[in-house]
Amino acid sequence: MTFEQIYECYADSVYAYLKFKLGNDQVVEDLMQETFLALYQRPPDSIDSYKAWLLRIAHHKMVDWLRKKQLVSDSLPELSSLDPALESTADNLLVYEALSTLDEDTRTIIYGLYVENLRCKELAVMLNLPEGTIKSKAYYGRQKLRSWLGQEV
Amino acid sequence: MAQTMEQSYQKLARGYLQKSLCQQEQLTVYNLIIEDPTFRSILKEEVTILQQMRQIKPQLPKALKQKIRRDLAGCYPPPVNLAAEIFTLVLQYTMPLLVSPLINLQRRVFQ
Repeated sequence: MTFEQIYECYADSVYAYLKFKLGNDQVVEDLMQETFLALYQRPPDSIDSYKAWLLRIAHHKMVDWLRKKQLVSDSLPELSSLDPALESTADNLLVYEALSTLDEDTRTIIYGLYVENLRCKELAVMLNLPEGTIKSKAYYGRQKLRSWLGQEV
Repeated sequence: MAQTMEQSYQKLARGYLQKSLCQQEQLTVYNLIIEDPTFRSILKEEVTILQQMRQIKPQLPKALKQKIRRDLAGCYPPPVNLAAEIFTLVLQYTMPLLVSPLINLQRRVFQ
């Protein structure tokens, strides 16, 4: 795959992840550029999934940025800052409220599993956590989501 | 139901929806769908969670996508086809040297 093709395929996922975590468009744009520049400057030798690799780099760039700014991202950005169209549906608010009851790692794991189709193994590498921890957090997060969403599920 | 059983059902159901199962696991899922109501209910839950989670996925605006692409293009040089570059260089230097032997060869062949 050429660099252009990789960008075309995965820019949306990288953006969505950073936006979901940070909300701030300017920072998201900068971190997206840094992520794709990292791909250009140090392309991986072998790769099973470009998406997982890019999301891992984006995650690390975000953590570095948060550390530099000495911010802690333990809360979700405002729903309205993600996409104005999202505000209108009650379902989205419910999901967002449910997600806000989870700790940050669990929220990221649930997002990775359900929105980006990542596997536990890929999330373990991305978040620097043992695969067993990812599995148990995924189970716990799903149980919480299920109970929160109640009749919906 | 034991937690491990539920976890393995969830893993299978999610893998089925992600289309990441091997053939054997797919067969297991087909059998479970037919035979096990608990699995069916977990699969249904997975579908609902998946649909609801995907609704909150932020969308990258087209204009921003193009802007970042343009900015990135400014950060790196255009790709170079090394083989073509070398071949062109070699041809540039060797062509003049080849002309005279080729003319001689042509004369010998056609005389």
